[in-house]
Formats: sequence, structure tokens, C-alpha cells
Amino acid sequence: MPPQARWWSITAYADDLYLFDAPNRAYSLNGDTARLDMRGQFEFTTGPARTDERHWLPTPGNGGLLLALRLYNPEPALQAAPATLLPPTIARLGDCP
Amino acid sequence: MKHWTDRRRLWFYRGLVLLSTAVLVHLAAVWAAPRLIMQMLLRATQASGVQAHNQAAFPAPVTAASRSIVLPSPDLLYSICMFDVRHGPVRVTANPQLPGYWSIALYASNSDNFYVLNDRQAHGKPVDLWLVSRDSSAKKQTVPPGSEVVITPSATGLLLMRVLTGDYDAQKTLVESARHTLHCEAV
Repeated sequence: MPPQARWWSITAYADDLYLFDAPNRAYSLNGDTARLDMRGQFEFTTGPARTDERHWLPTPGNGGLLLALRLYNPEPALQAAPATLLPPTIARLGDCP
Repeated sequence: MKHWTDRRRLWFYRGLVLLSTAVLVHLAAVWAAPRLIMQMLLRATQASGVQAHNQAAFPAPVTAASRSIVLPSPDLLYSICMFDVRHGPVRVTANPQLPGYWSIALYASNSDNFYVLNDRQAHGKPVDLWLVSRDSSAKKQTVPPGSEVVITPSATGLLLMRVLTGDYDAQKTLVESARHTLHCEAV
């Protein structure tokens, strides 16, 4: 589910904590670019190559990866108790190359 | 201390070294580091050719080539102004009419954030700030009507305007014109 905030983003960083040269400058998935399904949820795949029709967040493929979730103007309840955040779930789809 | 045994003297000096180290580490981490970081940031800005001394500057959107700050946000467009109120007030105006988030934040030379205003707090009204140092209260008399006086804790510092854009290519015209409403000038 999208985080309870006015706006959010998930950005992929290389292990040096900087952005990397992603195709089409696709550095993040966010409240503007995420497509919600019938359940109001979003899905994306992340990795060095596109593997399916879901939104693809490219990664360097030659090193570590850091995904950063940012919330802008979170809902008051979440702001009062940040630990109640339900972050997106992550599932491995295959072995690392 | 002449009655001290060698063992007690040794522990005394060990304690002294520990205390001195703790004081030095505290000063380095709490006092020097924030100032050093701000200095490095300002020098990096100048080195990149951006003219931002008491004037607004509009760096290019963050890309993989952006290496001045770790974890840069690709979803924000930045406008900056390195304010300097040593020789008088600095007036800041902006009117970013946007449906999304934007903010203007002011940082002192020790990197403390001492002022912030976002789009919700602005309620669609133009921003008009009059930056003055603590010792120039007499200058308040010249403040233009409607301008908000902001007293800066340090004579120099950084103004950072953030404009949110989740899809820069699609929103370029809107967000670029919004951030270019920032003006910053010595009075």
C-alpha cells in the first residue's frame, strides 16, 4: 500500500550512496509515477534488467544497493508514531547474477 | 601529589588523557563538524561555478553525476542563495504557485536550520522575507510592508528552496517557472 503521506518516493542508490547512471534517469518510483492496482497497491521490480511488465526500478547490477523510502507530509498519526509505518514488502524473485 | 604512589599517578594521568580526549571529540563532533560541513558545502557550490552570494541560483536537477551530497533526492529541484547580512539586510521573495510540496529553509553557518516555510504554511501567499543579523534591529524600521523579519543567528548562511517533482520531464515547465520565482538580494 502507498505510505500514509501526502507524497512518497522510493529511490535506488548504489552502495557508495550516490545515484547511478540509470536508463532514462529512472532513479525513483514515487507518488506521481506509481500505478496502483485494483486493491490500491503498487508493485515494482528492481534489478539490473527489466524482467516483467511491472514498473522497473533499475539498479547498478555490479555492487550493492540501497533503497530509500521518503515520506513528505506524513499523516498526523504516522508523524506522531513513526514506528507504526508499514513499509513496502520486498521479495526476492531470483538469484543475484 | 608527592605522596602519591606511581600507580595512583599513572591512573591520574590516564584519567586526564581520557577527559581531554572526550572534550576534544565533543568539540570536534558537536561544534566543529557542522561548521566544517557547511563550509565544504558553500565551497563546493562556489567551485561548481554557481553564483549564489546574495542572489538566487538554480542548480541543474540532481543526476548520477551529482556528488556533493550523499543520498541526493532526485525528486526535488533545488534553488539556493548564500545569504550574507554583514553589510545589511537581505530580502528574499518567492511565489511558487504549485499544487505540490515546496519549502524554503534557512540554515546558519553551523548548519542549524533556523527557519522553514512550506506550501501549506504559506497558504498560497507570496513569500517575502527580510533577513537581518541580531545586531541590526535599527534596520527593521525600513522593512517593507508585508515583509516578514527573520533574524539570522549567523551573519552568513544558506537558503535552500525545495520544489517537489516526481516526474521532471512531464512537469518541467511548471516546476522550473515556480523555482525561478525565488529572488534574493542585499538591500
